[in-house]
Amino acid sequence: MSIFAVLKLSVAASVLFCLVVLTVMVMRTFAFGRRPTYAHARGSSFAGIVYAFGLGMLPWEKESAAKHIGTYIGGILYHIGILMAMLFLATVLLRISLPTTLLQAARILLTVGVVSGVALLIKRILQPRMRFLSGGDDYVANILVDVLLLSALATTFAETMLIPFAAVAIITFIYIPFGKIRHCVFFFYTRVLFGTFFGKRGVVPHPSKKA
Amino acid sequence: MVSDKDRKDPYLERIRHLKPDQLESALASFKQLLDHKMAAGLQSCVNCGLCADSCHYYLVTKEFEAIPAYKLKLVTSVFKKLLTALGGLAKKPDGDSAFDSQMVERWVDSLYGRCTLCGRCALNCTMGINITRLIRTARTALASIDLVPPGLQSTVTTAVEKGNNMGIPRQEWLDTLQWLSEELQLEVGDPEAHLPVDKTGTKLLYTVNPREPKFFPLSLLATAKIFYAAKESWTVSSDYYDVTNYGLYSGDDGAAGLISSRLRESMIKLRAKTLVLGECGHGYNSNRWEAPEWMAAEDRFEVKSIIQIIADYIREGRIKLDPSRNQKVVTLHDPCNLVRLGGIIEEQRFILKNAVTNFVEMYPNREKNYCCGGGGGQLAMTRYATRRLDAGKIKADQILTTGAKIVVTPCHNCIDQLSELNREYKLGVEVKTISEVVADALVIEKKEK
Repeated sequence: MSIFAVLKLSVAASVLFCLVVLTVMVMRTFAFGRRPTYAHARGSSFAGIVYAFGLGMLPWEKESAAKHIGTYIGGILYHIGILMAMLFLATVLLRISLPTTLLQAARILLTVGVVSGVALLIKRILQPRMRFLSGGDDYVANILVDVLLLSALATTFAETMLIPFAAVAIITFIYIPFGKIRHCVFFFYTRVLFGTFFGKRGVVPHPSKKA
Repeated sequence: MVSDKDRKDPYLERIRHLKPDQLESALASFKQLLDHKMAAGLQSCVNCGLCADSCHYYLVTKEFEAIPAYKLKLVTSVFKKLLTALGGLAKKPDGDSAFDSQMVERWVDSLYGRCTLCGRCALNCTMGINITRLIRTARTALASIDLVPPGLQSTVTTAVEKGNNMGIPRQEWLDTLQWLSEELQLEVGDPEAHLPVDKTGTKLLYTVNPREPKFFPLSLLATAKIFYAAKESWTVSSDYYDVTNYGLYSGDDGAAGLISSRLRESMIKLRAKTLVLGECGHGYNSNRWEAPEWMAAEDRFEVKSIIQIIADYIREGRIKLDPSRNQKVVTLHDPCNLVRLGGIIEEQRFILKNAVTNFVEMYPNREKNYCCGGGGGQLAMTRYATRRLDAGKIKADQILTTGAKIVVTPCHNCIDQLSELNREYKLGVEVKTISEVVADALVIEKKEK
C-alpha cells in the first residue's frame, strides 16, 4: 500500500471517528429528554430559527458582534479558512486537480484564515479577561487549527507538505469531539434553540421586521 | 473575596458547613432539571468572551467574575463529567470541578450576586446559549438545599405564607380598595365609579404588584381610571392579586408554581376571561411564560399585560388621550422580563406616542436595552445592594443622555431601582408607570345625568 493510500485511509478513519463520536454526543444530549412546553406562543419559533441563522448573526442586530467587529470579521474569515482547508484536503486526497484560479483563491482564503486564527490567539493571550476565561482547550484548539490551515497553505505550494497536512488533519479530527471545536455541530444545535426560545416569545425577529 | 464581616455572616457560615449529602442533593436537583436544551448549552460555550460586554455588571465593574461565560463555566465545570466525550478524564476548565462549599460560595457570589437574569447575555451569545436559563437552574439547585440568599427567600416565603409578597392583610387590601374607590369617584366625578372586588364573570381579572396598595396606591388608581374611561368589565380578587413571583428569581420552582397557581385559582373562582398582569416585568414573564411550565398545564384563558390592554383601548378608540397634558420630555426604560424575555416590545411605545408630546428613546432600547439592575431578585438581596447600585450606572448614563425629565417604565421593580438610581446619580427625573402617564393624559367624558 502506498503512503498516499495510507494517508487517505487514515484521514477517512479519523473523519469517521469524529463523526461517530459527535453523533454519540448529540444523541447523549438528546437523551436528556425533551420537556413538553405549555405556554402559548406569541411569536413564531420557525421565524426565530430563520432569524438565528440570518439577521441574528449580523453586527447591526447583534451588539456583541458590533462592539467587537474585528473579532467578528476575524472569526468569519477564520471559519472560511477552515472550510477551505477541509475542501482542499478532500480535493488533494481525491486527486482532484484545482484550476489555477481556484488554487489562488484557496491560497488567499487560507492565508487570511491563518492570519485571523493567529490574531484571535494573540487576542486570547494578551487580553486579561480572555486569559481569565481560557482553559487549555482554548489554546490547543486554536493552535491546532492554525497549524492545519498553515499546512494546507504549504501544501498548495508543495505537494510534499501533504504528509504533515494530513497528519495535522487526522489529529484535528480526532480532537474535535473532545474540545471546543465540537461547536461545529453544537453551534447549529444551540442556535436552533435560541431561535425557538426567542421566536416563540415574539422577541425575534423584531416586531417591526416581521413580514 | 471574603471580608471579616462575611466571616460572621450566618448565610455564608451555612454554606461553609454544608454536608456532603446536601451537596449531592443539590447536584441531583440540577441533574433532574437537565433537558436536552440545557445539556446542549452546557457543552457549547467556546469562550469567545463576547458576552462580557453585554453584562451591565461587567461593563461597570470590569470584574471577571461578572462575565457571563465565567458564570456559565462555574456551572459547566461541575457537570463536565456528565457531558463531555471524555467524561471524567476531561480537563477541568478552571482547575476545580468539585461541587464543594467553595464552589457553592462561588456559585452564590456570581449566580445570585452578579446576575439579574436579564437575558442580555443570552441574546448576545455567539452560540445562542441560554445562559440565563442555566443560571436560573443553578439557582434552583441552590434553592433545593435552602441556600437562597435570605432577603430573597423571605420575599418568597411571605408570598407563599401570606398570599402576597408584602404580607398585606386581606382587610388592609380591601380598605385600600375602598379608599381608592372614593378617590376615583372624586377624580372622575362619578359617584358610581369604583374598584370592583370579587365580581364574577368579568372580562378582566386585574393583578397588581403589592407595592402599589402598600406604597403607591395612586399607581393603582391610575389604572382604575383607565378601566373606568374604557368602560371595562373588570375586577380584582380579594385573596390572590399579587402579580409578582420571586420564585422566578430564587429558583424555587415549587414556590413559583404555587404562587402562580393562585392567580389561576382566582381566575376560575371569579370566572374571568382574561388574566391581566399589572405593570411588573418579572410578573409578566412568570405568569405569561413560566407558570404554564411550572404547573405543567396550558392556560385555558388569555394572559395579557396591562400594556397590551391599554394599547388596545387606544387603537379601538375606547379611551381618548390628550398628549398636551404630558409636555415634559419622556423616555422609556424597557424591563428585561417584559421585553427581552417577554416579547412586549412596541405596545408601550405606541402608548407613549399617544400620551405624551415629547417621547425620546434611550439607546440601546427594546430587547437590546440594558437592565436597570433591579431584576433577578437584587432588590430583595440587600447583601448585594452596593453592586446593584454600581451596576445601575449604565442605566443612569442612558437616562442622562436622553435629557428626559420623566422616565416611564411598565415595571414596579424597575421603578424601585430607577428611583434609587435617581437619588444615587442625581438624575433629577420623575419615575412613572405607563398607567400613571396615560391617566394624566386621559380625557374623561363626564357621565350624563
